[in-house]
Amino acid sequence: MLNITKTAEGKKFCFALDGSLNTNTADEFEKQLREILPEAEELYIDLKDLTYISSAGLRVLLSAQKQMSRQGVMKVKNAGGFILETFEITGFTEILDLE
Amino acid sequence: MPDKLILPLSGHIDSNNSAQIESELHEKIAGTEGALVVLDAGKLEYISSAGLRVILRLKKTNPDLSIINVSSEVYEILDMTGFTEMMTVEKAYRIVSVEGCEEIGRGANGTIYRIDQDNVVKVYNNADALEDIRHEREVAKLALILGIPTAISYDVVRVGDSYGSVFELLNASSFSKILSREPEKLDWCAREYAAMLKKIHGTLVPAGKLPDMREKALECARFVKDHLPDGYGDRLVSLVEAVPHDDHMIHGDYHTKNVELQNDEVLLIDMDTLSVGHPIFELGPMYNSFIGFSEYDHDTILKFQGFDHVTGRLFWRRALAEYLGTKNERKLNEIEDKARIIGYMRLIRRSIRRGCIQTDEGRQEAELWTKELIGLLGRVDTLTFNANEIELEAQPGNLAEVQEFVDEHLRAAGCPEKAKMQIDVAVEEIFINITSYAYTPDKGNAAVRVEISEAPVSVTVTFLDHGVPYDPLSKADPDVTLSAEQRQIGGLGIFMTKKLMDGVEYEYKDGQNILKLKKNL
Amino acid sequence: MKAVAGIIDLHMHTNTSDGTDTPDALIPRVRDAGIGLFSVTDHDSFGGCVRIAGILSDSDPDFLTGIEFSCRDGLGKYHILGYGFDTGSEAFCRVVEKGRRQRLNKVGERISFLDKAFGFTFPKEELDALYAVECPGKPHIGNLMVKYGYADSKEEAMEKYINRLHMPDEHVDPREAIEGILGGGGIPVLAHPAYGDGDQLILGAEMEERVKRLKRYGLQGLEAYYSGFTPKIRDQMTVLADRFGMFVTAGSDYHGSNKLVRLGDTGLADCEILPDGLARFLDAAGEKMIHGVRR
Repeated sequence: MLNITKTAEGKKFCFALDGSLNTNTADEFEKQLREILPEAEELYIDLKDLTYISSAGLRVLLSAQKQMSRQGVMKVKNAGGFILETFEITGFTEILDLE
Repeated sequence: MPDKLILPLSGHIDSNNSAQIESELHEKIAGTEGALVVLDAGKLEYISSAGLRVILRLKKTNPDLSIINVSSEVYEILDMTGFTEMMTVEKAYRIVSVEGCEEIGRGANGTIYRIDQDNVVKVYNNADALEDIRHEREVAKLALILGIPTAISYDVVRVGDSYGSVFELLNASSFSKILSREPEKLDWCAREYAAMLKKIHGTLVPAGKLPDMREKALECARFVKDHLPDGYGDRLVSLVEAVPHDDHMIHGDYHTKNVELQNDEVLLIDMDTLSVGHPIFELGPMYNSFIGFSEYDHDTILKFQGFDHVTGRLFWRRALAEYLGTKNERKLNEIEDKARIIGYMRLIRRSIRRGCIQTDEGRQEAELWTKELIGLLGRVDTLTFNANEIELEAQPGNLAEVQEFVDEHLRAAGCPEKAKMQIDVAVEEIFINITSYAYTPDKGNAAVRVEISEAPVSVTVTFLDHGVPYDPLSKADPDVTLSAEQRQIGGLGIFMTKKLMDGVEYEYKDGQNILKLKKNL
Repeated sequence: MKAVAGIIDLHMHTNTSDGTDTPDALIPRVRDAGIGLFSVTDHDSFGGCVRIAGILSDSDPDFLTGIEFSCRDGLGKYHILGYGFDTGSEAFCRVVEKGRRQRLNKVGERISFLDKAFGFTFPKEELDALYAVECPGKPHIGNLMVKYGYADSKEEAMEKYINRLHMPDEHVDPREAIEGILGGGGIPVLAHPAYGDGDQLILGAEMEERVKRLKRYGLQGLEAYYSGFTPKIRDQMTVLADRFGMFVTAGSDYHGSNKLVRLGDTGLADCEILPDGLARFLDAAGEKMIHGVRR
């Protein structure tokens, strides 16, 4: 289960994820991201309440990062515990801008 | 077994009448061919040495002579003179009446009554009662030695024309009673009931000590075969034949009237069906007691157990889930179907043997069971099962079920939260891989098995599928030092799996992809 | 030690007392039963022994003279057996005669009781024949009653009629019997010790007291091997005999067709080796044994 809370301020978008980002829930997140990506200049993803991430979730973050690198800024906030460890193992700590 | 000839001795036997009594006894024996002679001393008040000599001579021509119902005075004489060493001498039994006593249990060959606050008596309903009593006592002792909490009878009594064994059973309630009076305790009951069952099934019995339930099941299958349409009968027999021998204990009549709560201890009573065998031979009769018997007439269970068929079904499912260690509905249904095959088989034979099919209701009931059995025989492959494994369609929608199934076992093994997370991710990566590649564009099944081993504690999750041979480990690891631009997403899942797990093994065998994940806890 | 080929049975009866076989008929039966040494122990009489000694051939088993006295004293009832006595001894014959006379008196009393109480009478010739029997007893009377239709069986006769008369206690004293046997050069032995007069059960301390007392009178042996004994009783009697340094004998108490006891059935067959007490008895009785002569 994944609850996505989206807040928007002009071209600045913030997504707070609550729950698991896996194969089944990643699709919904990706859909919401694709809706705003064309205009986004700042993208913040708050992972404070994210408890689980699989490669499907990483894939979504990676594609968002690739696009945002070309058109703006993307920051991933509050990655902790298991999520942070996963980022470390997979080298995503280098790819994502973590706060 | 040769016939038994019971000859009564009464009054006084001394030198005045011993010769006459001796010739009368010989006359009665003369007509019978090698019958087992039993002297019933119920009314014998006194025997002198002249009488003893008669018995001695009788023993010479009837080596298996035994004397029963001996009063304590006569027993003393027989003991003092060494007769008790030479032959079976049984003391007269205390007489007990069960009139007005509450029936608290009923087994295959006896009924249990509470005779007072502290004691119950199991009254046997057949002529070989003493032999049954001796057997049950032996079996109960064996069970106790092997660690199963049960009561042992401490006295044998006469009840009417039969015999009974007396047990101390203080302040006890059967689980049936608890379920009918305190329905809020259902979950607790299911847990305890399942825990006892696991203990029983986990007990290894030395060879030859208990009967083999597989033999009885085969007999039953062969009997029922003749009453099923062509092909189905053979299918039934071959399914039972394929069940392997198992030397673990099974109770044989494990319903809630046989499980008692005495103070705070859970006890098993009524041990005369104790056997060895595969658990499916236990689950079959269990299904019957909670559902099978009352499938046609819902009131049956109310009459026999004291609770209704809705409670029966609910309890059965809860207990089965506790026993198997999973709430996975697919798994429970799978095993319930196997249990039903054994269950219906027994119900059908019972019906036929007892002539129940003479009545309309009996016939319809048997028809219902037969119809269900045939349906099951068409779709069940094997009667054996593995509680640690599920098989389902390899599609992403089933991921949650797979993870939940694995999680159940991890929780039961006391797996730490972090390790559980890591395993969950690995499971997702592998399973999704299978859903994506194994059968595309067709559909197919995948099996997931969870095994926990002790010392050191570790978990192994095995994935099996019949799809395209594919070794995920053969792909090179992604280069995790690349920048976002250069990073590819492919291979990440497998990479994560290898990193998060302590061991990943793959083999292709017998047409199956087999992938094993191992994590030390 | 004198070796005996075959079974030993030192306790049986002929029709001289309450058995059914004549002494002549008994000998081949004993031989056919595989017995190597036997003794005839009729109640209060030795006529049968005399007869047997006179006709024994060398193909017959060895023989010992024997007798059985029914004794009683203030402390109990006993059957005392005597073996290897000299039939000419006066001391011995005196006791035998006493026993016999008491028995005859009892028969007389019983016959008159049957007449007075039930009106059963017998022709004079029958009664003469009865008294002529060396040792008549209740079974003989019983047979008569059956013969004359007063009862259906000897047992019925005894139970329903004969035993109704309670006889006063006139018995040979055990001490007398033992001394008489010893006087005749015989060996006194207590028959079926645990069974008293055949109808009782005496074991433990009471038995020990009894044996101690009788030994003082001169008793030399216990019939530990007896057809009516269980192995347990046999063992106890053997232990007792050994403790008091007494002999051990073996007997069946065969009476012929009127009882179900078989010749040779003494329990001795259960032993692998001859009990020490019995071996000593055979030694002591060795010279008194009668071996048949070629005929």
